[in-house]
Amino acid sequence: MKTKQQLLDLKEKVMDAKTTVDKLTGQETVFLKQIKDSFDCDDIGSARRKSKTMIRKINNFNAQISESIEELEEKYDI
Amino acid sequence: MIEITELRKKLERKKGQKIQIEDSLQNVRTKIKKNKRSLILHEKAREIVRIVGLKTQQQLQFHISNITSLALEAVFDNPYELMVEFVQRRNKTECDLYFKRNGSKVDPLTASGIGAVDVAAFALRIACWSMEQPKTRNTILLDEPFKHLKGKKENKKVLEMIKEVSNKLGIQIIMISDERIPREDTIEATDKLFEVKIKNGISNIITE
Repeated sequence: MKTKQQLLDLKEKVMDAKTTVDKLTGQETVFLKQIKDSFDCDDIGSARRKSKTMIRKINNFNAQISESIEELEEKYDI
Repeated sequence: MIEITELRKKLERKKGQKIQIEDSLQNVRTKIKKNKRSLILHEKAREIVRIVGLKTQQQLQFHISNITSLALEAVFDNPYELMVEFVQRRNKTECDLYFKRNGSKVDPLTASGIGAVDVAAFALRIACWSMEQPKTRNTILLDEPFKHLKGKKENKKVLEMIKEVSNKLGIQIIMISDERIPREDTIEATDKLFEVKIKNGISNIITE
């Protein structure tokens, strides 16, 4: 059986948790709006997928750039 | 009581939104800083590329103009000077070539004698070969390269010029020519002469 104080502490914890949830919900709202505006993604899942694709493309570009630099170095004997 | 709870909820959400916006703002500020640094580096790199480009153009200009003008000088008494000018057209650097004599610009193809163009074209070919990287074989094959060149004296001088170019740059020049140049001059200027005569429609090579 919990004492009155314990119940009050618990209530405070619940209130704190609710406050945190509300704050995070606010953050989530802004974040979703940002990914919609910047990357045209409707949810976090699609943003993640898009991010993976973009990283892959960046890596490909980097590889192409390195390859071209090597070719140039070989061609002009640098 | 319910209203207060709702208002508190709204307030907390707004606080969350504020935090998110402040985070994003911070990110944007960091990106701006990074981009400013990157912009400075790119501007420096662009300046280096511009200077290198300019120096290359100047060297190329000197090289082409110098070799060609020397060749023209070797052949003509009152020679043209070949001028090289780099101009920007359609976002590309293009090279304009023209002759200059007594301070006036002359269009090589319309206003000058084509003989001078023949000599300049030969010199340009040599200049291009000498700048090639990696170097190609040092043999140049020419088919009647000076067919528009008039005057016995000029034709004799052109042979001397070819001989000098060949000796100085170590190039083997194989040239096809007609009989406009006196035979003895040709013999004197060449290391080896092959005479070709057509008999009954068949070319016969006579080695001298």
